[in-house]
Amino acid sequence: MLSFAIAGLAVGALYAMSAMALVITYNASRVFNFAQGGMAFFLAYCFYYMSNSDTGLGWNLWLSAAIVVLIIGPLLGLFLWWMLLGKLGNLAPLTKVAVMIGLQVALVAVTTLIFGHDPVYLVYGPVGEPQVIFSIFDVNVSNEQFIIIVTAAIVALGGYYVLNRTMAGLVTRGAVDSELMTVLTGTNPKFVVAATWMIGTGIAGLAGLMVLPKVGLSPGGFANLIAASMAGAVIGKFTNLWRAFFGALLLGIVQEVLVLYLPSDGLLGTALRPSLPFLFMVGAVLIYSRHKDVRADAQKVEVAAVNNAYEVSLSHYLNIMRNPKGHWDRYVGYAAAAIALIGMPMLFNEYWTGLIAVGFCYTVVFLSYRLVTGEAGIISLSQISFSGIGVIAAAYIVNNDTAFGDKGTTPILLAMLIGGIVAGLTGTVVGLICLPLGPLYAAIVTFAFALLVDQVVYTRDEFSNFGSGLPFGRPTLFGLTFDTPKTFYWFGLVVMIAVMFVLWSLRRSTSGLVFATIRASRVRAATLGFDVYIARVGVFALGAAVAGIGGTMIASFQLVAFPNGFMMTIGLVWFALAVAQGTSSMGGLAAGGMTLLLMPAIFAEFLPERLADLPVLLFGLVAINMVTDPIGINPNLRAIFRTLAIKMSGGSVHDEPEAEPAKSNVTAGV
Amino acid sequence: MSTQTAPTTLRADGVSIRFGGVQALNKVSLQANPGEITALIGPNGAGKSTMLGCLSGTLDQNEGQIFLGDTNISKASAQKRASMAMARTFQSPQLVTELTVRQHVVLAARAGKQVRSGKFATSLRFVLDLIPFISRGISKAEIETADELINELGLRKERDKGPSDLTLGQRRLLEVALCLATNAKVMLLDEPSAGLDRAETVHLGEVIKQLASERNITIILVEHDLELVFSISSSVFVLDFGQLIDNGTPAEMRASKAVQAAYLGTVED
Repeated sequence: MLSFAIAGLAVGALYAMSAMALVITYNASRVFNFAQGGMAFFLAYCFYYMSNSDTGLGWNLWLSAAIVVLIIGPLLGLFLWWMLLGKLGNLAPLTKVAVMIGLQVALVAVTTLIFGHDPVYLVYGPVGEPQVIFSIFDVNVSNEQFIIIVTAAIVALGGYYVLNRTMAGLVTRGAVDSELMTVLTGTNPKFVVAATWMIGTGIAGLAGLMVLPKVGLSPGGFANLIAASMAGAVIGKFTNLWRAFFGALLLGIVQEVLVLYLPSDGLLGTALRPSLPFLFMVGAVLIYSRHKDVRADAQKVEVAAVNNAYEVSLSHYLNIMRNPKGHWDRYVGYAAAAIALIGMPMLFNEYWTGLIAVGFCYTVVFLSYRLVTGEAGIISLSQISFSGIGVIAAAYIVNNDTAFGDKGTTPILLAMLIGGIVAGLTGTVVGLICLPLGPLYAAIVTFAFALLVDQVVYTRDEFSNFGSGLPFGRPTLFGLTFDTPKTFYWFGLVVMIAVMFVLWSLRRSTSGLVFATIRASRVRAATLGFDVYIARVGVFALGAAVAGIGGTMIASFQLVAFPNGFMMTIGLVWFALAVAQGTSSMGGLAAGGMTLLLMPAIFAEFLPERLADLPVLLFGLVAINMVTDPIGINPNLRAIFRTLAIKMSGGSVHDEPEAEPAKSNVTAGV
Repeated sequence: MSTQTAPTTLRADGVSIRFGGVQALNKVSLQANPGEITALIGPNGAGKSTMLGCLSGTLDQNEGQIFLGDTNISKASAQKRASMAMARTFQSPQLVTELTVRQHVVLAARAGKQVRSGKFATSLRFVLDLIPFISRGISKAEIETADELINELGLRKERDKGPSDLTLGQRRLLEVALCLATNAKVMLLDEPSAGLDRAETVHLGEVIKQLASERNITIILVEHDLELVFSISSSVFVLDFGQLIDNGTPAEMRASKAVQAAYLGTVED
């Protein structure tokens, strides 16, 4: 028992340090660092490069660690603050999360572009090869465990001392509560925030270096550390350093001690430990959702979102779109789209037609963001997991004897539909858990859920078929099988347009107006009598179902249900791209779905393999660009076309909307 | 023995609420009757908006009870109270950037009908809204009804504009329009005249007074403009530092020493 407790203490200490970094930076900047995993990954690679004698510089481990933690980490924090993080303070929660996810995606891509993208599993941390250094009650303690625990204690005590006993700590705490008061003390609050990012990045790097021997050099490995530290941050309500620290510490201890009591195999034995960060978060959310001040805080955040840069950009866009002239431009757009969609299978060969067909499938998945984020204003980082769940449910039905048919006899179309329903039901459960509180809680809980699905569901052999995926087929309708790229093109196109039609109907209906209200002010929606929570859960579930159906379409084209294609790290790229294009814009989401498929294919055609991650870097950068352009690329393009149409119609963008007599063509939103 | 009150009489008994170390309301009781305007006044920070929050269900009081007619609604959520024909405005207008003035009013009118039709009908509506050609866009009749209300409140020229193109006063008027469009029987108005000029304020006062008497609506008015309050209210409750310090008719409150002290302070000998 003691040996497990000590091992747990070391693991928990890593989580606690990382949680501390999250809370410190959030406290000072009100930005939750979703890119902390990417920062730690980059710094860990720097350390590996400096310390490895075969592929790098071969410097001393401790010297390399010191340079990374004390120099490169803080400089990275300072650089990112100067370029980006210092500009996020007043943005809407969605924009902040999107930019940070974009940064995470970009950092991982930059790291692999610089250092190569082959995962390295056998790598030492600063301590080097672990050795037993002493025993307590016959339990051996390694130098690695000892140093991790001591380092975490030093970081915690140092943090406590600086924050509570020094002038610098007082100023930092003051900057959190009131920038103006900090200015009056003669301190520039921006410097306080910059310093906090430097320290936070340094601590994140320290935790990243120490976790290296456990997870190796792969972005997925760092995601575990981040999920656990996020659980700590949620326990600390993002701002309470000590609750976060000890919550994460406890999580690590419980994770290790549980080994004693769990069977070595079976669902409980393999699934419970990786699920613990998610379960800790769920517990905290359930407790806090009964706690009034958090509810009030969640509400305050929603209200504060009004009058931010997003609102300003949105108002500008809406003013152009409400201009009485130039509305004919949409018909030009429809005609151009129709010609392109009909002409493409004739112009392109089977390979490119197939790629575009899969692009339609990805577009269906991306359209789920219109429901979840574009309609209900929910930041969901688990749409990819709902796609994956839909895929494995559909494939499981096809490959087993079930109530729907014997093995191999269940129609693919029925299996796809059931996959969507299973994803929708899963979405209902996740929505019920993550939606009582504010947008940041939803983002974090869905992030943890996605990681949970990666580790607990996708790894099961009955779904992964020992890593090779379950065979899946092409749909058949009225005797017609969509078994060639060209026929599947039409199948994908019809499904995509059908989903778009449903979303268009929703936007122009009462529910569309209600969701517009919920996005703007939950308290207003509630006082109009709408059940905000249930409405959001409903649309979240529908979004999950659409993502599930889109996932089954992808699997159908590929003829294999391969769960690893739906991992959380890929989902972050999806999210970044969808939000950057504009989650309220169906055209934008279609462009996102197509870009996701076509850009890597085009780059692979014309660029060397070592630049394979360049498209991912670009996807991250377009999400980061939301800091200057919060409503997304497509609405901005739309505004440019409308402006042109207004001018061609003899109008001006400064014309006010006329008080027209009654007409019924009103639709809310972007 | 219990006496039955009118179904839209709003009554608070000993309502208290604390935010951390601040006692924002301390055992405040009041009653607002149908067809009357009940004003809630007091200096800044007196707890007026907090009281509206408790009455409308956007804040949960720590102590005390709230009744609508004979129904105890102390634990009812904001949406539940809205379904009981209660509506409110906000000191900081809660409007939707993406919607025009017209769309706001149409939405509120639909909300008034829909939320009283029950949860099943609301869920069914959501499902129907997903079906192309069955989902309901905004009809001409709805727009005409909305326009009548918009014109009545003097927002005709603004009806196709979004909230970001409105002045603060116009936003507050739109908030009032939302309350009216829901066909509410109880209205809680939080400083509706702030940002309006004198002529607009007088017009708004007339509209509110007319509503209360003609539609027999229970109105609670939180207001800093004492001239407006004293000209249209039937009764006035005065708060200071979360305490109810006096209540009575407008004439009584105008003469009240406690009220004068709360607003102007006292001179120590």
